[in-house]
Amino acid sequence: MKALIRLWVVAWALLALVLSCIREYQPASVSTSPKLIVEGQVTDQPGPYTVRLTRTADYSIRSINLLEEGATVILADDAGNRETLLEQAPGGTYRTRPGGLQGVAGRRYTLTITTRAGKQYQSSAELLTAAPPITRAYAEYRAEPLALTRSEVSGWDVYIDTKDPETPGNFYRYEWTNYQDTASCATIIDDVRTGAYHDLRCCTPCWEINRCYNCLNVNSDVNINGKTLSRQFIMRVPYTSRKTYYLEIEQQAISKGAYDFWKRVRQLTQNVGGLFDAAPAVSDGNLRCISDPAEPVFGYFSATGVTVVPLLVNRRNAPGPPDVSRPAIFRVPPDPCAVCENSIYRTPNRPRWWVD
Amino acid sequence: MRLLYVLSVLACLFTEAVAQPKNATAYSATGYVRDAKTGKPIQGVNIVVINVSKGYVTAKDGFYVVTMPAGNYVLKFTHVGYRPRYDTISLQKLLFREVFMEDDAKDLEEVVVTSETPDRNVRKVEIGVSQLSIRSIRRIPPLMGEVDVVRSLLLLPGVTTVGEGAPGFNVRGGSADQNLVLFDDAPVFNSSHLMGFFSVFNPDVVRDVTLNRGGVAAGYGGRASSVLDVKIKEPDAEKWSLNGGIGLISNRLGVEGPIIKKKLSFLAAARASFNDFLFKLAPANLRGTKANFYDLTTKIKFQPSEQHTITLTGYVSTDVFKLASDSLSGQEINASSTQFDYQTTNGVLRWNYFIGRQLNLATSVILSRYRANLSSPDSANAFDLRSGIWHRQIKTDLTYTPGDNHQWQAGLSAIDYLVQPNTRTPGPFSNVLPVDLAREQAYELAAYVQDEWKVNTAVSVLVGLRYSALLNRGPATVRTYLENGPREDETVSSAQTYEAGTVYHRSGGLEPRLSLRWSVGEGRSIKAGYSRLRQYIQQVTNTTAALPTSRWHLSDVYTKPQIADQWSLGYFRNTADNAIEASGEIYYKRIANAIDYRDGAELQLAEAVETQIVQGRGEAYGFEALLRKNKGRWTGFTAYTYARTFLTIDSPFPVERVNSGRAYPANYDKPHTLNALATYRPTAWFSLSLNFTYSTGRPITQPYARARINGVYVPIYVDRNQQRIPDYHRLDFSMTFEQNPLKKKRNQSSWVFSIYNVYARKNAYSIFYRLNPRSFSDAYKLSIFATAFPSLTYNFRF
Repeated sequence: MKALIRLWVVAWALLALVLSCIREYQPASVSTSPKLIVEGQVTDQPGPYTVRLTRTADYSIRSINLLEEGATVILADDAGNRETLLEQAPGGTYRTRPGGLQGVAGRRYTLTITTRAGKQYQSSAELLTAAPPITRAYAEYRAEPLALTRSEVSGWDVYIDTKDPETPGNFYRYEWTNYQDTASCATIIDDVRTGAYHDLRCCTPCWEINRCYNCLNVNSDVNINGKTLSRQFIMRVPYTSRKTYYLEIEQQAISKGAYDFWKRVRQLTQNVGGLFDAAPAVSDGNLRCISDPAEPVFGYFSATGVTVVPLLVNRRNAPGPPDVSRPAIFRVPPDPCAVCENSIYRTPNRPRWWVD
Repeated sequence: MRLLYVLSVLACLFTEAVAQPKNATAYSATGYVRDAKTGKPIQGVNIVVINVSKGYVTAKDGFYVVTMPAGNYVLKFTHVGYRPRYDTISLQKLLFREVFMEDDAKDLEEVVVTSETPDRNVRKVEIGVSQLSIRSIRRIPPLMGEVDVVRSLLLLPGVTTVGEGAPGFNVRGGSADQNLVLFDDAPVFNSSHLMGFFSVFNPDVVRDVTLNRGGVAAGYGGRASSVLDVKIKEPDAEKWSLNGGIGLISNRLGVEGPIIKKKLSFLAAARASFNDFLFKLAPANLRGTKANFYDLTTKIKFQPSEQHTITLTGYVSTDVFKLASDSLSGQEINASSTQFDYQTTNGVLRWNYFIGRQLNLATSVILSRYRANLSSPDSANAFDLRSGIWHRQIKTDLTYTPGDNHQWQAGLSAIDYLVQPNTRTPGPFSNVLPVDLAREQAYELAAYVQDEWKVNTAVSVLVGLRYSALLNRGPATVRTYLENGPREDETVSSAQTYEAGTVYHRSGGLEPRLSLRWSVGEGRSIKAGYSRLRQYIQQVTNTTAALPTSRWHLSDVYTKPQIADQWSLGYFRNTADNAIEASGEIYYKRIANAIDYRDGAELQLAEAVETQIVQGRGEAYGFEALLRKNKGRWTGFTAYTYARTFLTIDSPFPVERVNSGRAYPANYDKPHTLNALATYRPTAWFSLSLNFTYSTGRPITQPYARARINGVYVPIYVDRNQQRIPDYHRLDFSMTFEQNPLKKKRNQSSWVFSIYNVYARKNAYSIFYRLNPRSFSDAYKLSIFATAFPSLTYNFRF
């Protein structure tokens, strides 16, 4: 979206009256043989840690990135600890045991992969650095103009400040998790044609988990070393209700290699091919194919220090009514309750800083 | 006083006539050629003795000498912008004749995009030189009503651009920073307003524009591809006048006239845009956008006598461009808006001393400063990133014309460069760290000599030799890198510091130049040229087009000077009394130490540029053909260019290679270009022009595969510049209504109506790759000017 806005800004800013336009375009098809992609990280928080192996596909919406199944994945540190990760169903995802190896700041971690075809890949030894604490997290109300209209959308921009350590070469990545209590643990569609539905109440207290799964929010201290990194944007809280918005903000300390990698990935996904865009570059990570050094490997295995702070955003000061999401409908007499299952989208466990 | 001078000149001529007793029957006709309206001397008027095929050219002060055996002759005087004039003389003794030439604005027949006099393209020695008068530039349908010098160059063969609205232009396979752009002798480091849409030259003050793309004369140097020489007109020495125009983008106002009649005259012209109100009407997310520019050109001419002319040119150009985002800043700093300010300030003091009819000495002191500033206002993250170039030059050129067959020229030049790469200053409450990159300082010295030698009536050669050198001086710190690794911050083995003023590195060498013309018959000639050009200052960037804040960098220990060798050969043919011109030229060019960037380069704040750029070899070749009709109610031309440019960048270390060391097309490699311009002028007060342009799309890099990382589809690139955006074509149209110039009126005005992109083609500005689950397309095309765009401009002159 940012890229689209940027396109508009550039086009409009240059020539206020000229109509620019974006059309779909079918490029000539080119392809290369599928290469291994590695994603995974070890942190200083309790595990389990996950490594995901996939293959590159042709650059098209119709192609599929295949999972790399049946590989042997070994995580080892420089203190002599090592653990072989177990493949999870349906394959391609490998995980450490609960209570298994845990990351410790100051140690170096290496990932070794042997594919079913016998090719061996290894990451560079990544140093796990502890993350400095977030000194302040805050939200500011802002009505955002809706692109190309005169209407505005209410919301709160969330920022954090952090004190950067004196040593240069600190790199950060930000992630956030939102928990929202919910009364409904299942939705039953009564009529597919009309869309009529009803909800089932949760048997226990239950929270819905919301994250940005494709955000790449990284920063470095190259411009502010030793000072406060201020107004680091985290996310925008939507005005979907007047209830307090519960947020956990995670500051991750990543290595220079990981920072460069994510920054380049972000650049590649936002590049609009314009005359003023940095030209695209090959984005290889920190893994090498040992059995065939000429074979490229993509992705990054990182060792990350993590600190977390909560933020409760008061949403009662916005003008107008909130954008209401789908209301829950509970029938009378009450239906039997539904179990709040622990998954990446929902949990019965009370969030750490939750206040009723 | 004047009479005395004329007498002394006559006396000189007598002495000369006496000194040549063997040629006793030869006499001279001599005098000045002047503008009929203003009385101003005209330099470079071609004088042809009809039926004898002998040619002469007037000197800087309009003086001419034609020496012939006694007899009756017809002299033909021609110059671009003036109506040709015939003069019948009976040469029995020394004749002194003052010749007045009339402006050709009233003529129905006109020369469009002309190379000076009608047969000059066949007769002149240089190859690959095009001159455009401002009148011909005005006939080209303008974009948004803005008459534009640089845009008009794009119609010439061999000149291309990377995109509509891109800053700069590319000449014969050279990058945009390989063009030396001179505005009355002062170099212009950024020739565009509004990030590239319009050029910085106010059309009201431009006299003519010359582009040297082939045989660059030895007097020019410092850039590897071409020289664009934009000349400001001389202020009117006879009467005061006011001129101006009102357009959609900018408004112009100029004044000129004599302070002391015929001695001291003055010219000032300003141009400014007021576009902010347009953005106020725009959608809310663009209301913070600002895009404004202005430029001011002044020229003072002082002519105390016929021998001395002193001119002082001043020029200021400023742009302010504010975007409501941090998208283009290239800085990893959180910002709600980004503002670009950039400014060119030039001053030229020039003294022309006409020592005698054989000797002329021109000396100039040139100051040129370019400053670019990038800033963000947010208090905690406020910063101000400044960069700049200071160019201080002194140069002198001596012309010696001992006779009809030789014209010698020699000169010296010294440039003092100061390049301030980037200095970042935090705001008062800002957490951003200050950065101050080391200044780069150097002297560029040059000396040259050249001779235009008429070997016989058929063959002329222009032979020149230039020596140039760059002396880098301290304060500086020069790194030494480990020999068995690539140049990176991590592979520095030691660093040597030099004190202020110490010359720590020298580079330089000879630059031979040669042009040859061989007339193979009436209106037919073959020309050949060779030139070597050295470039010591370059703009380093990893974007397709350079931003106004892109970094300039002097050659040094690690960045070797770019050296371009060019060979060209052409055939020129004029028929039907020069009404039809045809020409074809081929060229081959080799560039040593061509520059490109490494994968993932970060240039803006890099302490050592050599860790981000790579150098290799460039190769360019092409064919240019031109067919032109100069006379009649319909005039116009068609130009076709085939041009290729490849770069090869290899190194023992993979990170210093591009495309694994194989040759790849440069960003501006566009094989086919076809341009056509037709003008219909049925009456003196109305004209209509059509302009068509076609070119192959520029190269782009297409992803070969996709990875899914962190839930996002990431494109995987393998090699640079292997695909192209779709071909570009466009038709423009313009109509000019003028007052009938035959009815003498003091006040003149004209209306220009134009349509850009008549058939509303959605040309690709860029192609970008984005996988969107809601669409079945893998890529998108962005078009700007995607519709027919009309505009109206009003011009006046009192």
